[in-house]
Amino acid sequence: MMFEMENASVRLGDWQVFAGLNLRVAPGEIVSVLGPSGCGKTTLLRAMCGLETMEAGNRRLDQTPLPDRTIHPEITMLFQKPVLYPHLNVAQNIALGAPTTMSKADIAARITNVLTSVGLDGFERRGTAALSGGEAQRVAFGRALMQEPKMILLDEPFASVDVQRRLALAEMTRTHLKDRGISAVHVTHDRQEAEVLADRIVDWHALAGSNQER
Amino acid sequence: MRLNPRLAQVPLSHWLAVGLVIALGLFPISLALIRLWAVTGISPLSALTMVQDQPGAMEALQFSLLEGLASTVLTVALGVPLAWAFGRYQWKNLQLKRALLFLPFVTPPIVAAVGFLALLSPDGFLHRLGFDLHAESGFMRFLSERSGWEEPGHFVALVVAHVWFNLSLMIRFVEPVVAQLDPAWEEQLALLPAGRSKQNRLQHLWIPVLGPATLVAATYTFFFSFTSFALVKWLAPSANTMESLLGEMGGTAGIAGYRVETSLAVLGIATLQMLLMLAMLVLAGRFERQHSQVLSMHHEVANRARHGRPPRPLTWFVNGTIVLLLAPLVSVVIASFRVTTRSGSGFSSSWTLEGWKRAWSGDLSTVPVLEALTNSLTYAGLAVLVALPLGYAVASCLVTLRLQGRKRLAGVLDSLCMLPLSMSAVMVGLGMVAGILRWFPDMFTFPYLPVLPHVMLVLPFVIRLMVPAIERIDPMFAEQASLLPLSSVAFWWHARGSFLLVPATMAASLCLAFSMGEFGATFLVVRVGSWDSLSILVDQVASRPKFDPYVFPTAMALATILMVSTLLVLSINERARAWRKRHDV
Repeated sequence: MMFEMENASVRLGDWQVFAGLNLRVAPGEIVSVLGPSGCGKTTLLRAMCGLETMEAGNRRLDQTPLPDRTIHPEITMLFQKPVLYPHLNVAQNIALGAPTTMSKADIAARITNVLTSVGLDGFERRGTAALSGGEAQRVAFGRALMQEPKMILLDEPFASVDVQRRLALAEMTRTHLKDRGISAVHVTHDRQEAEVLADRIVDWHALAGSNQER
Repeated sequence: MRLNPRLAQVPLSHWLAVGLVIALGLFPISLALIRLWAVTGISPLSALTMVQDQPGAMEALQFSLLEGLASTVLTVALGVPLAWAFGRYQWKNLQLKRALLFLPFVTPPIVAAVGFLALLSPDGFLHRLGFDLHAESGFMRFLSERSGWEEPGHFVALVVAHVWFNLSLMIRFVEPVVAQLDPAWEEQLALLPAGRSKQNRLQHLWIPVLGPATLVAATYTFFFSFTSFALVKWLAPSANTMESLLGEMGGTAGIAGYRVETSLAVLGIATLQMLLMLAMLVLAGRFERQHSQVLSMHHEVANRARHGRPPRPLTWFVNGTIVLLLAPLVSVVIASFRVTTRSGSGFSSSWTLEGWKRAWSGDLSTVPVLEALTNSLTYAGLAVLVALPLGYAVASCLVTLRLQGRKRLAGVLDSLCMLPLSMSAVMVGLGMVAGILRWFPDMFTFPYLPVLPHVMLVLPFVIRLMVPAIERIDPMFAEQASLLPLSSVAFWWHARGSFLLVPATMAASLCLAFSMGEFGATFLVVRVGSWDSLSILVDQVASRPKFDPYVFPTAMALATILMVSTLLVLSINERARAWRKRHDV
């Protein structure tokens, strides 16, 4: 699935976060956007998935334009702070990602597989409050995989984890994405993490400042 | 907080709910004013200029202002030190003490009224201390002789009862400010020349910090005392507030060609009362905005731990106040088992179950107690069933409008939805009687008619609880849900509904309790004996001539049942609050 942002501009109040931004993600490609904290990387991802209004520009999926602020079912996002619903346990949180047409038995089997693949065997009935930052992020990632998306947007998903685990998680994420042929845009300020995860690294200033990719 | 695309627009159903709530607030009282205008041929504004000529109106205004002012001053004088002590230190059984201090505010007014009557009765604790409501002996005679003031007992009892009611309000507003005050403010001031003396610290720290919260609570105290009805009816029967005057005359107002002078008086007094109430609410709103700027500054538990256990005099002060607050309620229960008979020149009392037997059989009332309890629960249950979804829809609309940046529109709609609160219970009842029933007399036979004023009265509470609850929900939950393959219902549940279960439970139990204890509006609206609610039954039995010595214990038994059932409903509220604190939702 080819995803493109063309001449995209976003303004938040008085702040022009970026203008005239162009970004193309090839099918199955993982792109890391490297930039300092607070530069607008998260806003870029939010605009890509339709959570933020674009002042100008287009989003295109396989050449088809996406209307502004619409959420495409095959694009999902992993937030910096994993969003797990406190009234649901781990398995129930992951089940939220299951396609609505899937049977209960299939969902249960898929949850077990997903939990195994993210290294959380036996966590089905655990409450979300008891999870560490890394575990919570793996549950959120498992839920994203459950959706079978064509593209995942990763907003500094390993920020709350120590360096060693961060790199291990980045490697695990890359393996899952590559195995399933999922495209991804990953934003971070950590070059090491970007180098482990990405096929291509793009500098934020180059991307947002001069409209060029590197 | 950013708006999620799926929550960005106000759905049509929510706009309809806002329209319905505003119509509910405006429609009956507008119809009532139009009806009174049509019957008297005089406009509300002209009637306003004639208020001073209406019998009893100026006395009622004077009395309302005087008792409202006295109640407010005393509540502030006692409440602020109490809230300061309660908020500053590490108290044993904090939750229990807090619940007990809040109890008077949610006690049905009619229960409080008969509770004070029990304390002042010949067998009561206050009577033995020389506080005599009727014969004006003891301390009251002393006060009367020294001041030349006739019947001071009624006024003093009423003011004490108002202080009893509103202390919890003062604590609710002031205590959190003390408990959450950033300790750095106090420490920094102590190191500066401006904070060396107690007087300076009071001037530079405590008055600016506690002032807005105190002013908000004081305004509401004045508002509630000014519009007092059940307490005035029972503790100061020879005087009238404007509210009780309207309650007395409202039942016969608005009938064409019948007692037109009463309709004219009601029109003038109601217009004046409405303008005064609106002015007070505007004032309270202004103080509330100042108050919200100082709240939520530091963690309460850590703050209390810094100051440790309270000094002994403060422990006595707080615990003693709690005992005094419980006294009228305990008196109701005790009085239900006591019968007082005149023996010679004095009184003698003995224990009895006769009051409970008569309450159960309904010998002294229009309906037996079980039927009245069923009526009360039915009205309260239906009121909650209607008010909860309506209140949610209005709150959701207000939050969305604010997030869209349409704050002025949200503010106007918010004020319009709060109208029933500015009109007081008797005004709402008057709107029903002179507004709805005079135009649509067929509704006299509609058995669920009392539900309508109850819905109007509890709706502002639901909206007030729901708005902050919706605003507190992390928008990330909605953003995450919008990226998942969820149906509209599942999206709403995971983004919003699941987080509102506890606030909705709290709102429902508070509304049930308020509706069960509601007296003013029900008093005016209930026209058929078989519709009587428990609070009406208490008033009805207590109003009977006291030649029969068992009338008083029967009324107390009914009040006990009303009190216990209200407290049971409120215990759900406390459980929900405790659950929310544990889970930090």
